[in-house]
This record gives sequence, structure tokens and C-alpha cells, in this order.
Amino acid sequence: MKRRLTFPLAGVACMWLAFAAALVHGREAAKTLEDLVKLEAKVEAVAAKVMPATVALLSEKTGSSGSGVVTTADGLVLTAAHVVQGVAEVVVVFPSGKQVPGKVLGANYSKDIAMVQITAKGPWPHVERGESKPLVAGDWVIALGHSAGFDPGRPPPVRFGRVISKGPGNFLTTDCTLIGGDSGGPLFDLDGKLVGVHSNIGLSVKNNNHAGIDGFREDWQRLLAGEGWGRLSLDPFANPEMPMLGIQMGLLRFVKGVPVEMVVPRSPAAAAGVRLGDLILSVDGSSIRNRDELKQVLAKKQAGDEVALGVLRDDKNLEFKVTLARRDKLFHEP
Amino acid sequence: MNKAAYLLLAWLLPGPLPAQQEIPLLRPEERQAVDAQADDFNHALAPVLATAAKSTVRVWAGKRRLAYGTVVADGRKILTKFSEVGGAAGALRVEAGDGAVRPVTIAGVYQNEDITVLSVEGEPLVPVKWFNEEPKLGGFLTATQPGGQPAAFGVVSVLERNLRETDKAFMGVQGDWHFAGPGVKLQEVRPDSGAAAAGLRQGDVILRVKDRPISGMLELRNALTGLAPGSRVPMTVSRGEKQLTVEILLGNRPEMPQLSNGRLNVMEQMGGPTSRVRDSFSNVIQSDMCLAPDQIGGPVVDLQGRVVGITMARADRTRSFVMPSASVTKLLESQPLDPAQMKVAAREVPGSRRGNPQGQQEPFQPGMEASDPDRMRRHLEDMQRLMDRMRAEMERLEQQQR
Repeated sequence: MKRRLTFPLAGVACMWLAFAAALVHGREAAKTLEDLVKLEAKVEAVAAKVMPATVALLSEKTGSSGSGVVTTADGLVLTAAHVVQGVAEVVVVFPSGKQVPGKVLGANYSKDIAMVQITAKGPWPHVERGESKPLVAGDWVIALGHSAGFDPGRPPPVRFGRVISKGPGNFLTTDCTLIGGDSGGPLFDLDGKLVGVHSNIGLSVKNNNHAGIDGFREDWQRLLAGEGWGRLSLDPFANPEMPMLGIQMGLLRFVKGVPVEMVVPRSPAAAAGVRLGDLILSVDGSSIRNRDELKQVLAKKQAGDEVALGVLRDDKNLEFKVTLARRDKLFHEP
Repeated sequence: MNKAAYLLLAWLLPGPLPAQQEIPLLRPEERQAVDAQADDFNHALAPVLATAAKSTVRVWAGKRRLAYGTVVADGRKILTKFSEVGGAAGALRVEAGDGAVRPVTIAGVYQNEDITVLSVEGEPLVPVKWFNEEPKLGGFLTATQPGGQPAAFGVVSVLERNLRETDKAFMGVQGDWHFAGPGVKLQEVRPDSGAAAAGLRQGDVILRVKDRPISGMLELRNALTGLAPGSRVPMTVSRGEKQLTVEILLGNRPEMPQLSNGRLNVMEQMGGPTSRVRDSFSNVIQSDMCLAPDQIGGPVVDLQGRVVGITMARADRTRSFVMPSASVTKLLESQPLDPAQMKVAAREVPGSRRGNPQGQQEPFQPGMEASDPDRMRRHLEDMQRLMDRMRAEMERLEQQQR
């Protein structure tokens, strides 16, 4: 984008892009040359298929340049919230060079997702939406976007990589390298289905973060209605949509696990039967050594997810099913 | 992929992040999964690299690794990156995959592409066999190491294109951003341009280029992008009530100052150092492979092991450039510049104008006197030191912020 500092975050270590267990589940194998040849054919097919629907979003007002993707024939564009921040109208540019006006609809800044409606008459080239939640580390993904801003001399560059890590919340990290201007651009699975939009990067080339497509589904109506809400933050613990158990974590030196120091009344933990003094040893079967690990594992979940909490109480191993709640709704939900 | 493996090797050496910090929420099981996948992937790639690796060498000067090189012609010529090799102090030599070392000398320079030809003394090496077809968008590319390992893996991000600004067609008008359209309303017409010669004036609205309706300025730029300077383009223009058709002779785009963009510059450097000369190539494929600057100059193969080009530059976090085999072949048919004439030639190294980050002092400014090879080498070394300092400074800043 255009050359402007839209979001100085934690300095250089993490930047928004506007310019501004590998579980086997049908993932393409890459163990033999034959596998790679098949994989390549899929990537080539996806690149050709999704290119026409990948757009640049330019704002005359802020001089910013981001990316987006058309997802309905009548021109509904999905993008990142920080791309359209402070803007009501954008110019939508297709790889063909065709430019049409777009109206900014809603944005959820906590998830860094937003919608733009093309106001010119369609039909427009568009892509199909997939799901982001089932993705796990190792799943192949394809990214497009207007790296370093719109350039009429080339279509949006194609990048290929895989999911490296899930979370926080709805976000996911891949090694598809991104840079300013890619923000809001699409991430696809090998079937060419949209699974996310580009959000921000860390210093490592493996640290490219995307807002998962499932976040749109949950907020669809509010976004369509033009609502703007939430807060842009890379710190998962500051984000109001982060999932919580509703306990205070204690600290025990030299002991593996996390002691429960307090249970918030009417919280998910309380509802599941977790008590003061319980020692949390695992989440969904993976062992938890300390508070940091527990926080890390929870940050990868989303509100509404059920987790199996392995707990030691009176020398007995117990398991509780806890349905996580949003931090900002922890005290309101029964 | 791969990237995991090489990046650790190539990028994390200069300023390592604590492994855990690299991706804050990376779980051990996720790390294990992606690492195992990268191993499998690299293992599967091994057979396609074997042949090209024999034609890949590492170029040294003293104890410094400068670049990779590609063995061409009769096995006594090597192509490598001029800006990494040309100014190096110390005797040049190349090391092949089998560990054999041969002395080399600079035999010629293709300045416009930042390529130099090295002449090999002693036994000839194995030359590459070029494959002259362009790979497809999204096609898999692998840069080889001399030992047969992948130097980097990536895909074709953008098909072949010319990065040289001055090779691009230029009509000489500026549009009005506030004009709602359709079409492009001219805010300014440059007096010595093709547009002025065709009689276009301020206030005219361009409606069509050939038969293509023009919705706005970006579309006009796109319509001109495919055209060569020197071509004549009919355009439909409205002036008040009238519509007229004019034919415009396109010129060459003049050198224009590049706006500096501090934030993008920072992002470009996120992910590792970039090549000193990384722009203005006449025909390149863009790839997302992540190479170190001292891994530039070697062959790139497709999944059939065919050499589709050579690496030209690591441009930034997301981009490396590859010169396609057909273009290399064509280049080799032309006569390179004799290094003895480099006294004059050293004045200009193409692409260096924007080739350095942060908009700092540039290595070769037009008009800068570099009257002898020593002096030129000093400039290059100064630049290297400056870049090292900037890298160190960035790392320090990051650590403070953490």
C-alpha cells in the first residue's frame, strides 16, 4: 500500500500489512516426486481459477492500497478490517485493470475482517468460501495479494506454503510470505476455496498471519449491516473475543501443571465442575506444564469450543468438558 | 516445504530470534509436523536437483562466499551475479559440489542484467542444459545448491515481465483523481510527450484505448502496460461535446524519482537480507523462494529437473527474481562487456538506484566517479558495511521492543 503507516504495532516485530499435530485428514502427501507433481498441478489450477476474483482496494482518501477477494456474483468483497479503517468508499481494481467503486460495509477489528460491496452491476468473478477451523499445521495453502501495493505491470503475485500454527483464536499462521499491500488478500486451500484473508506479519518468513474465513460466517449479518466493532490487537490476551475458562491460574514451582487458584462464578469452568485447588495437567490430551503453556493452548481455541480439561484432584485424575466463553462475556453468560 | 529448513540455515544465522518467539503460539506438535513435512518434501525433491547441481558452483573471494554460479557453454564459463562478485577483494575461485576448487577470472560483464561471466582455469565443469519453455503460474521451482540440496523452493508468483521502468511505454499525461468517470480526465499533458504531439489537452477525457473502454486511471495504465515504446495507439477522447479519435506515439518512461516508503522498506527486510541489485532486469519470473544474497546466480529447475532459469536477486520478503532460460540463452549470444573497459562502465550499475534499503547513501549514483576498479571495490565494501550496520541496528531495535 501505499506507503503509509497504518498500524505501528509492536514495532518491527509484528506489522499489519495494510500499508501499510499434524493429524492426517485427507491432506495432500508430499513424500514422493509423484506427490509433488500432483501438488503442483493443484496449485497451478487454483492460481488460474482464483486470480480473476482477487482485487486491489485503493482509497483515494487515505492513499492506502490493500487487497480483497470477491465472493459473490453481485460483488461482495471480503478483506481485512485495517484495510478499510477510516474509509467509506474504495476503488476496487480487478487484475484485468477494470476499476469499479466499492462501498465499505461492516468491520470486526478484533478479528481483522471486513466487507466491501461493489456498487457497479455484476456479475463479477468470485470464489467459493471454505472452512478455516479444520485446518491444521502442515495443510497446504495458496496466497494471493497485491504485495507492496497495486502495480498495473503485474497481476497479484501467487505464493504457496502451509499452515504452520493455529491461533490466536480465529487467526492462523502460514509460511506464505506476505508484505504490505497484501492485507485483506485471499488465502485458499488446494480446492481453491477461500479459507482466510491476510492480516499481519512477524519478523520470521514463517510468521504470516491470516484471519480465518470462519470468523466471517459468525459475524456475517452484522458485517453486511455495516456495523463496525472490536479492537485491533495482536496480543491474544487483550482481544475481547479470546476464549476463557474462567479460572485464575496459580503458580507452583517445580510442579508440573497449573493449579486453579480461583473459579469465576457462573463461568465455563464453574459450570463444568472445576474447583479451587484442582491441578490442570492437560488440555485435549496434550500435557500442560505451566501457565504459559495453558494460555498458549487456550489462545489457539475459539469461544464456543469444547475442551477436555485433565485435572488432578485428591490424587485422582478427572476430566471435565469445558465450553470456552469469550472474555468479554465471561461474566454475563450463565 | 523446505522453507523451514533453509530459512533456519540462511536467515537466522545473522540475528537469530529465540526459537520460541519466532511464532508465539507454535506448539511442539505443530513444529514436529511441519518439520517432518519439510524433510519429506526435500527428500522428494532430491532427484530433480541431481543433474543441475553438477552445474552449480559456489563463488568465493578469500574467505567470503559471494554467490552461486551456473556453468554454461563448454564448461569453462560461469554466470554469476556481478554486483556480488565484481567488487570483491581477493582472488576469485569457484567450488563445485564435489569440493574441487578452481581459480576463475572475470571474462565479461552484462551490466544491464547484473550478470558477470567468469572464465574457469583448469578442467572444465559440467555445463547446464537449458530448457527454454516458460513454467506455468503456480509451477514449482527449486534453486539448487552445489551439493545437490535445495537452496530454496518456491512457486511462479508472476509470469515473465520486464522490470525496467524506462522500457515501459509512456504517453505523458496525468489524470484527475477527483474525476468520477467513466474515463480519464487529463489534469496535465507533458509538453514534449506523445500525448501533446497528438494534440491532447488538459480537460480532455480518454474514453477508449483501441476498442477497450477505459473506466479510470488504473485501467488506462493497464491498457498501456502491454505496449512497447514506439508503438502507435488509437484513443477515443471526448472534449466538451465533441468526440475525437487521436493516434498517440508512445515514448519511453522517463526516470522518475521513487518515493521512499519507510514502512515498506522495513517489511522488505523482514525475513532476511536482500540483494544489493534487485531491480531493473529486462525479463524475469517472480517467485516466492527465499534465498540468501550469497545463494544468487545458480540454476533453477522445475519438477522434471529441467533448468528453467537462473536466480537473479532476492528482492524482499516475498520476492526473488529468476531469469528464464530463453532469456539467458539470448543474452549469451550477445557480446559481454570487456572488464578492461569497466573503468568507464563502473559509473553505472543498473538497478542500484533503488537497490538499497532505507533510502540511504547509494552505492552507484549516476555521475559518481569510479575511475578505477579499486575505487569501485571500496564503494561496494562501504555499502556492505553500511548494510551490515543497518541490519545490526534493526535487530537491536527489535530486541528492545520485545
